[in-house]
Amino acid sequence: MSKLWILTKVLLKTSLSQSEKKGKKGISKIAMLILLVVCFGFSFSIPLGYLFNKLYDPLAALDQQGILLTLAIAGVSLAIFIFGIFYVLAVFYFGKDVEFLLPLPLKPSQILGAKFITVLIYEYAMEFIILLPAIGVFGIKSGAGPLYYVYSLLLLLLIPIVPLILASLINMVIMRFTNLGKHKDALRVIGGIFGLAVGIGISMVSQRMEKIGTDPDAMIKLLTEGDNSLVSIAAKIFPTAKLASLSLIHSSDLKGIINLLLFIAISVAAILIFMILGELLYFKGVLGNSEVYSKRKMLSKEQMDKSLRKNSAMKAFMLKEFRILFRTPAYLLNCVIAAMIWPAFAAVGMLGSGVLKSEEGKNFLNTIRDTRYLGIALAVIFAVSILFSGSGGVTSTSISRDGQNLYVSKYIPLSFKDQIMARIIPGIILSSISVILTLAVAFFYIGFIPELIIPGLIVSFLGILLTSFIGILLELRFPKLNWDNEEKAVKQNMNFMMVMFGSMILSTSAVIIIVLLKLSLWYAFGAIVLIFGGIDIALYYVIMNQGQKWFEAIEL
Amino acid sequence: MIELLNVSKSYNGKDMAVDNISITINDGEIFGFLGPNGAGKTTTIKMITGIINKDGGSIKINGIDINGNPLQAKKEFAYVPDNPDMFLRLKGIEYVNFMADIYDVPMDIRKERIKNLAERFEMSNALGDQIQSYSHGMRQKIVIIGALVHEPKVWILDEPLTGLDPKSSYILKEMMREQANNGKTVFFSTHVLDVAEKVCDRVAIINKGKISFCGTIQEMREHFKSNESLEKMFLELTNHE
Repeated sequence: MSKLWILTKVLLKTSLSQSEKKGKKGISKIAMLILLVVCFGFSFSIPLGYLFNKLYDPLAALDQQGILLTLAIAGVSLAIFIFGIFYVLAVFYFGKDVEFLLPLPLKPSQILGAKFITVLIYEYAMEFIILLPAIGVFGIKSGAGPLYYVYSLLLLLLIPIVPLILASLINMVIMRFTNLGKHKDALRVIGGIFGLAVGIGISMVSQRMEKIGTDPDAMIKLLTEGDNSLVSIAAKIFPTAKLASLSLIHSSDLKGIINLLLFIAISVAAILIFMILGELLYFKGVLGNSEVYSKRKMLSKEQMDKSLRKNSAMKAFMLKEFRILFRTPAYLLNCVIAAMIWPAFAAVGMLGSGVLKSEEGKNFLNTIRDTRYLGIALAVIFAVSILFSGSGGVTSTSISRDGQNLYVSKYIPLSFKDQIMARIIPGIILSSISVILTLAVAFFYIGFIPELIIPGLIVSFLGILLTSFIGILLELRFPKLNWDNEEKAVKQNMNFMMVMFGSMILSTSAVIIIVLLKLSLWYAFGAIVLIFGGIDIALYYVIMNQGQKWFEAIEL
Repeated sequence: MIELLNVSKSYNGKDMAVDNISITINDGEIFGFLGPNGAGKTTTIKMITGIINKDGGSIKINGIDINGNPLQAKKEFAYVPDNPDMFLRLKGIEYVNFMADIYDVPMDIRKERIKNLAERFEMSNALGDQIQSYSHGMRQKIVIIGALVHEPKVWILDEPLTGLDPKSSYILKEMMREQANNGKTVFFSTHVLDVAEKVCDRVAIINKGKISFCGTIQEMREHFKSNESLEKMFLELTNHE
């Protein structure tokens, strides 16, 4: 048992402290964490609390208020299960530490146990965001006694265990009996896209909810009626959710403690099953997992001819950038797909909300077509291009992505100028595709506005150049080259963050300024081209002079 | 030919990683750069290849200054780093083609060379797979193939034999010899004395950033006998590995 704790502590430490240097960074990390919690709190917990609050009274009139708790607990269990599947896969099977842990004299259940606890701790964060508002609202509204809160605390700790074990078991069986493990990159990408799809799904559902939320009766119908209601489905998948909510609802009497004990018993049983199956399945599934799929087949003459093509050095460098971007899951998901997701979001958003079909929507469309407001429309296009290219992060991580291998750039005979350009251009190309697609979607819904095309494309290009140039300058000056897995090169990259937040601020202010000045199309175009064209030229000059020196000065 | 003149490098302004060294590696010779771990071998090689800047002195490759005319100088040499874990998500063939593009190797010559090198190192059936699926030794071999695809006049190899199986190691040594016999330059670092004795025409020994010996193998052996501190290092070098 003590080995389990030692291992857990080590795993937690390594996953939290991220091998950064001591000192200032620690503070900013805590600040980031607080910021994150506050952000999620505001965007999820408070609206959820509001919704629960609204639903409580009508449900209480039907004496069905307990449904709120069942819904929240079942929902959380489902979410933990779904995210758990990919999380567990990453931590149990694909983690780099696995190779170091396997040769140590540890039992499978000890490694599994320690890894399970680290995953569990991360899942608590998600659980609290959803469950705390439900428990809070129910507790206050029903005037629950202290026992209710004691039970709540206990349940908060126990609820994620069963769904996470289910997710682990599924993984252990799949990894034991298939050789999917060799297609790690593909699995990671599927997991990432799945996560994004769930994200889009949630945003669509919450749009619906918002509409229904204004009509509590419809909401209650949706929740309670029929066998296919949300609650009954979720509760069927996780019968334990029902036990948990019953123990809370009846916290003041015997029924509460019985349900709680039952819930604890099931959780303990699940842990035991997990440990026993883990001893049987884990090592066999994880062994040989460091292997990567390969054919080891002689290339035919045609394949050889196809692979061997002559390109200019700069094109070869760009091609290499693209290949690595698309083949590295962390880069594909966080840079490429993150940039491409915007047009999809725009399409889904407009389609899903049905805003454009409403009376206000039609008025809005007519207003846009009014030539007096085309200046604002142009400002919006400019803002969109900044926002999308800023959140793509292809350029603003382009040097960090090389990590310690950046030294290759130093000894190959390709000038730093060319190399810097070869790192900027892929970002510009990908952002352009994203912006053009979005414009196409917008024109499809709003209707084609010919006057906007040429100025729109020009200002978009200026916007994309702006974020790309700022991104590369930050990368040249403050590259993050010390990382041990690729995720960190993009996800924990301050340059990327700064460009992303900066682009949000910049795009909003550009729109506000043009709205305030009431500029017409051509005045707005002229202003944007003069100001931002000038800034772009200046930045280009800085990159080609100072930037090149910074690149040269990076020591490895 | 590689010329180092009064080259120094310090980290944090204090610790001299390389302390005022001068060596000349002539055309047509295999030159071994010997020293224990942390002696300054890799730092020196990184300065020669332009990966890090030197504090002082001058480095010329075939007469071209690496800092004065870096692009021209870089075209003269091929560099094999000590850690072959790079471009893991490119296929072997893509990596080699990338290097050929960077060094502007004509198409017909490129095909022939890649085919030959792959056959010699028994890598032909791995070229179509991603480098991340390769073993350490295979990664080493693909990096060597990529480095040699432009038929460089100067070879700079950092611990090239570690991780290679005996056969590949033999082939590489054979190729180094061919290269030198054709009047070109081979400069490589190692911490294994045995390797140096077998393949090098001349060696330099670096310890704590300073060159403590430079000459032929025969001279080295005699030098060891008369110099006690060097003999201690000799033992250290032979005992390792």
